[in-house]
Amino acid sequence: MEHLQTHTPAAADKSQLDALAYSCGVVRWENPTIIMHSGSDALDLLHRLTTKDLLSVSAGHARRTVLTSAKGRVVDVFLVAHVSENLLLLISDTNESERTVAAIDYYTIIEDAELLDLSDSRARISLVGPTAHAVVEAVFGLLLDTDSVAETPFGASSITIVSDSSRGVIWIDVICEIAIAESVLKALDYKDTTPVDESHFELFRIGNEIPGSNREYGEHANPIEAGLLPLIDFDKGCYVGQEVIARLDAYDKVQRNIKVLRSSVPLNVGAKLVSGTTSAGLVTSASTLSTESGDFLSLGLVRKAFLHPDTELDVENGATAKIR
Amino acid sequence: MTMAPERSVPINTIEITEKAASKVRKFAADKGMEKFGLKVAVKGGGCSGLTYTLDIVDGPEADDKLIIHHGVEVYVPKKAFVFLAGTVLDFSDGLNGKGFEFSNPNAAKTCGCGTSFSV
Repeated sequence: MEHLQTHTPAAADKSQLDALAYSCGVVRWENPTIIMHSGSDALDLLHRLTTKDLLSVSAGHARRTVLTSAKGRVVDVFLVAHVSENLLLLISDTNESERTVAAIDYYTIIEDAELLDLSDSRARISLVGPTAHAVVEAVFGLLLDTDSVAETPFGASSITIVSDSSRGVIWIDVICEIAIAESVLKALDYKDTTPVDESHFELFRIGNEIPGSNREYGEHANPIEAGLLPLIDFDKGCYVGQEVIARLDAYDKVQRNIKVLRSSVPLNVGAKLVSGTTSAGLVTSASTLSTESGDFLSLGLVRKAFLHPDTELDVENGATAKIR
Repeated sequence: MTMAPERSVPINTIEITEKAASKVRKFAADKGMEKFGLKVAVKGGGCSGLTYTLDIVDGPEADDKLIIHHGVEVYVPKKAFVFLAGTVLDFSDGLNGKGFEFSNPNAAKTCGCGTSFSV
């Protein structure tokens, strides 16, 4: 992991954070990953490849799942939206859609299943916050249940709206053609919504301990240490990497967990955490926006011995971080 | 664990042992099938990524490769054949038996239960 620190430290805009926490923040993704997966075997194939039981996801419903390698490392995490019979939409936080397509394609042999990468032609707008469902109802006239998907007309086009409860916050994704994204955003400029920029959304994600793509999870981490345990069904049967992941869990072999770190200066992504001379982990995400209390928040993969709240750790760049 | 026999099979075919063929005939008879064959394929999934599938069917599909061993017709989809070329299919029974067993020279790694593999 590279040492990334690209922004100057600044105080967070409270209105953006409040929207995400108390009303509804609107976030447009810069490089979304949106893949169409169609065919009579598509859902069954993903069920056999990934960590979640997907066979019970009927049309109109959605579930987030993890694709792991045979070594039990995370390849990608995506929301499987069962739009209609034999038609799925895969929505991922990664900006490397081709990697996800290639990984699923590798395992498609005799199955009736086709992948179409829509990432260049679709926009993804996330509505995050407790009033997101009410916003969808007011703007699009849709009463959307938890973990469900619906298509609705929008002008001459149509949009797909998916709710996802897997991140511990109210989260709804709106998927539309890029050409109408601005119109959709305009429609979402509603009394109860606030546009949220990337850096504030990152701070919100870190503060809520939500694992990020190519940050907390990726080829460097297994899903348990990366905070994706709720996305694993241990009784669903075989999937790629299942033996390794089941062993990690059964024998308590997971060595690290994600933790929120507080510091008085912004940390660098990739910086090592140490306690004395002992390695204590790695900074995986870091915000350059200070919170109301003046702290900077980061996420780290922290070794088990150092997970206790208020444990102080030294950071490679000379800073000190405290486990929240 | 019973291991499938080490045999050298030409890479342009797959082979089933007499014991496996006899079991296939028995299963087909139990199902009351007079015309039958064994469909052997590979699909995505399983701990190691690729899973063997076995089905007794009443005939080949257009894209299947046909192989005959010990009087039993074996149908292998062409897309799956690249993963199965040179494989021996055996059957092991008894208390420690595992049923049908694949000895696949293309498999670099096999999962604990033997139903999935990676290449």
